[in-house]
Amino acid sequence: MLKYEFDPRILDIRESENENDAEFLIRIPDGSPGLAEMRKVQHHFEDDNDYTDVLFYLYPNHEFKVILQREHYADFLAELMKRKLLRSLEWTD
Amino acid sequence: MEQQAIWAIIIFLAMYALIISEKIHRTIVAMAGAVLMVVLGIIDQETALHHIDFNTLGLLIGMMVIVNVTAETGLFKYMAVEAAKKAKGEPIRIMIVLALITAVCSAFLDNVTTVLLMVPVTFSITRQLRVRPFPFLVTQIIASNVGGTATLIGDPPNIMIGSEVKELTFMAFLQNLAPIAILIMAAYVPLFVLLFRKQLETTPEAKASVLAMDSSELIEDRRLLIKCLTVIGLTLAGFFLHQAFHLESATVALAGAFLLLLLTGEHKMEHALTRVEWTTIFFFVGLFVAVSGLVETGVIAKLASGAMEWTGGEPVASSMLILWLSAIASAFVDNIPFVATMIPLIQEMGQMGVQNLEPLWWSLALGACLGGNGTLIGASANLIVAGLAGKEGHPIRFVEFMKLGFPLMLLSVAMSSIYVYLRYLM
Repeated sequence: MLKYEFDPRILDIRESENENDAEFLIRIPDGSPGLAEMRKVQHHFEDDNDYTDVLFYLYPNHEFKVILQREHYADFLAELMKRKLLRSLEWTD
Repeated sequence: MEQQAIWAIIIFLAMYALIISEKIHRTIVAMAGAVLMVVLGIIDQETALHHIDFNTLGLLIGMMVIVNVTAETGLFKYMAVEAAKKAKGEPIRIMIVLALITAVCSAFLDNVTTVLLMVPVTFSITRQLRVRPFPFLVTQIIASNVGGTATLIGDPPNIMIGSEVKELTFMAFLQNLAPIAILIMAAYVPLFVLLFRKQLETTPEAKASVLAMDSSELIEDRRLLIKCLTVIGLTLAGFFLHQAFHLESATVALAGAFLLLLLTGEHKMEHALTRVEWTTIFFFVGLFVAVSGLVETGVIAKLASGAMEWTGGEPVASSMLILWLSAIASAFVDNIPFVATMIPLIQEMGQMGVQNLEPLWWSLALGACLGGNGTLIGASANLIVAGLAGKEGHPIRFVEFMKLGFPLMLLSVAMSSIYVYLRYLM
């Protein structure tokens, strides 16, 4: 499985499962550089021709709900890592 | 009947059987049918190319480009989220609101453009509410065909009729077809609720989650939004005025698309062109050529002329026949080539002494547009939605759609019959 770590000064991540999907609640503190990077992650998945792989919902106070299909779990975390929104990402047994 | 005509019918029927069976992708089937028509010498390549309606293809491509660029502004997501919030997060209400938005947009944009805007946000909302997208997608297909009936620019059959019959202006379409389109939508809304309310149940948490969304964050690029809205405005104005300037609707749409790309810069172009639904465009190409085999061998003209002979030119019988024939035919055969065949036939009836052709034109427009709701292959918007839904893992089956669409189509055509009779023939 994939294990990740994040810097709470950049963002806060809460993960849950919903049926076959993974859900992330991502909160970005005011003034964090994470907001612009999170937008880039959103665009990355919204700009492809797959409309349902990773869905983003915006809430007040820079809160993002992300619903994603299980097969795109690694893609999503890799994109967060690429944008330096995660400190580490590794496969564990 | 000539041997060529028999071959054309065989190819055509085999093609439709394969499309209905869904064993092979419909674009491949349509293109294979088209190639066979040429290879077997039923039509030559020159004739086949002549039958491809580049006005329709240009209109579709142009509007797809405009939509793809505009979608990047977040405008359509904003509209859908606001609608969902106004509907208090209730799935059935959201479904109705989205269907009504689809109907209104379809009247002023073309149907395909409208469903291309609505489908992605529909997937987003249904996923959040944890409900099946099928009811939303089907009601949007049906609403797009009803809404498209209301104006000259709403649906390709109307564009074609408006182009051929100069006295049928934009206002004439609006005054004559918008009232019945509104009545049909009013009749459909309670039926949609009855049909789908049990399938659309969600949790209080999912509803609360929709209501809490922040729509103001969805408009991301206000400068781009202004450019897009300006170009959409100019393009719509172009549709209103295209006959006055002797421009085809494809010219207007492509001019709008490339004006927008000029304003937004080269970097948007490749992305916008990549997102054009090319499989649908090629399905149209194949369909136009395959149908041209029937047209060129005289099959369609023979069918239509025979049907006309039954009525003896009598106004009520002629109108009702055109209305029902167009509706049933448009449910199974693409309405664009069908309308292309019917237009000269109606014009000929005028030359043969039928005084008032107006009810016949409205019957053709109503039948061809509303008939599109009969089956999944009845209209381009249906195919676009089915294509996107299939790609996203929510296929809309031919029979499943027909069970809903065909009875609703019959209801709308019955309502139109009463309307045409009361308004023009009594």
